[in-house]
Amino acid sequence: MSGFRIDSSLPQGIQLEETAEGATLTVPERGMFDLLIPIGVRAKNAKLRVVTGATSRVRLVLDYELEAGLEATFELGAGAFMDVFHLERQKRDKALSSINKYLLKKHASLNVWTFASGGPACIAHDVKFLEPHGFASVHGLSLLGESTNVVHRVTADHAVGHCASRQFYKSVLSGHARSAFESLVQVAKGADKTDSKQLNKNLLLSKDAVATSRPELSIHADDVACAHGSATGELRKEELFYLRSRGIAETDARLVLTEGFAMEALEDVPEIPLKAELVELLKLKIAELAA
Amino acid sequence: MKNGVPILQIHGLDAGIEGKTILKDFHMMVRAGEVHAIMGPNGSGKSTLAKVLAGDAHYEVTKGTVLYKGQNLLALPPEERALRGVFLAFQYPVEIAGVSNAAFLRMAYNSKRKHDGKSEVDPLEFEEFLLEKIKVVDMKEDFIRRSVNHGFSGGEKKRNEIMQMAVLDPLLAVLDETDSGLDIDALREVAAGINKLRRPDNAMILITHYQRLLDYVKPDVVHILSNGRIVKSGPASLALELEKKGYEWISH
Repeated sequence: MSGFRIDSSLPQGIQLEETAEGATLTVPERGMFDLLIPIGVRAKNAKLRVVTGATSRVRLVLDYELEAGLEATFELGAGAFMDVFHLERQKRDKALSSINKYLLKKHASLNVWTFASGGPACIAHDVKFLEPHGFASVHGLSLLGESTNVVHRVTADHAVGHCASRQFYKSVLSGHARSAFESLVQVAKGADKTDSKQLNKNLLLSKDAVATSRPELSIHADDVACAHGSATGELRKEELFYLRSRGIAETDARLVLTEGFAMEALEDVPEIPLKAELVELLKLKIAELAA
Repeated sequence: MKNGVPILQIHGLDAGIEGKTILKDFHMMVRAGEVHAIMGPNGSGKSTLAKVLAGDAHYEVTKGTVLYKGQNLLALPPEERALRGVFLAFQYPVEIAGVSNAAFLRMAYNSKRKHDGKSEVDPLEFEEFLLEKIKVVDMKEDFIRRSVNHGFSGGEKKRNEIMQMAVLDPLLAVLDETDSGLDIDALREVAAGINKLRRPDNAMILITHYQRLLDYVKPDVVHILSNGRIVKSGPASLALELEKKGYEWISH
């Protein structure tokens, strides 16, 4: 009824409230360590609120089903750790819309991964630091073929100082696929010692694929370290030649280089069983795109 | 000179890049069991020779022939040359993010085994084999799990080239300035690696700007390259003479 399929065997202490409007998950202070909660998002306009207590630690896997659409808010308590995986891997007729807000209290640490191999979709992650000493890393990987279009909108609002944010997005595109990385880091007046990095890299496997990249910065403080960059291109000829000069056939060389490019986006995924699944998924999809 | 079978025969080769001819009427013959050193100043054509032998498509051959074991090498794509036993140790090894040394080398090794009609080896078997081979260049075990050359120091990259050579066991190895950018300890270790791989049935071409590598790897023949041609060939002592007199000696 709430538009979700949430693992019903939630451990003690975690509260789940479901109404027709949506669901709220509450993780208490010092909540379970390394807890992974799979959530299927089944309905359009599903609303999710996740509230985690101080120093809690939780992992969420949001798996978008065919009719999915999400508006979610994640509130991280002081010193809380949260990993959130967004898996968008089904080819759909109508575009998926997923809008996510993350609110971080002091010393909270957030990691978000978005894996998009279905589409079309628009997936937004808006991070806001409410208190100092927060850390947020937002990663994305798009593997798209045919005429799929996926838009990633990523923002980090450094309303206070002494926080660090990272955005690292990669895409591999074949056919007529398109991806967009629209990113903004805002640093408020007085938010000194802000540390941010935005990086987007795109690999085009066909001449009709298009990647657009806009890593933007808006800085109103003086003492900050903010870096942004973007690179889009084809497989490098020197890398291909290097592999071929070791006896690897050209088609295999292309495949292994494309896999390697994409794999970098999963490097920071913790060693949990989900990682092996994602690596498998990545290999299957790359084989399809490189064919 | 030894009397091994000819491995490489180059006749009247003209080759270059972007319309500019660099090697001009180049001749060379390498037999099994021989190590040839090619020395020459920058721009004399040393690297062009290496790239042409490995099949880099940026370089064009406009005249002449290259026979490898009696067959036309130039007609073969780079991977086919490698499968038949030609190996180039790159002057600037390429960094490949996201691909581990072990995965890359297993792929290369299995391609060669398949080509030779042998069965492929699985990752565990290969790891054991690889751990033996990294001893050739005296590297730590984590070396094989790191991405290919990614973030490696200059010395680590060159050792990685020699390790690849140990894994692929080529018949003809061309080492393009493998000594450049190495400090004396790294040079000694890389040279020791090269010496371990030297056998009566294979051959090597060492391309170098300086004589110092030849203190550790003793060549059978030294050639001096100038303006795309070999202008002088002789025994190992020729390198010492060249070191003393400088490259001006051969340019007149």
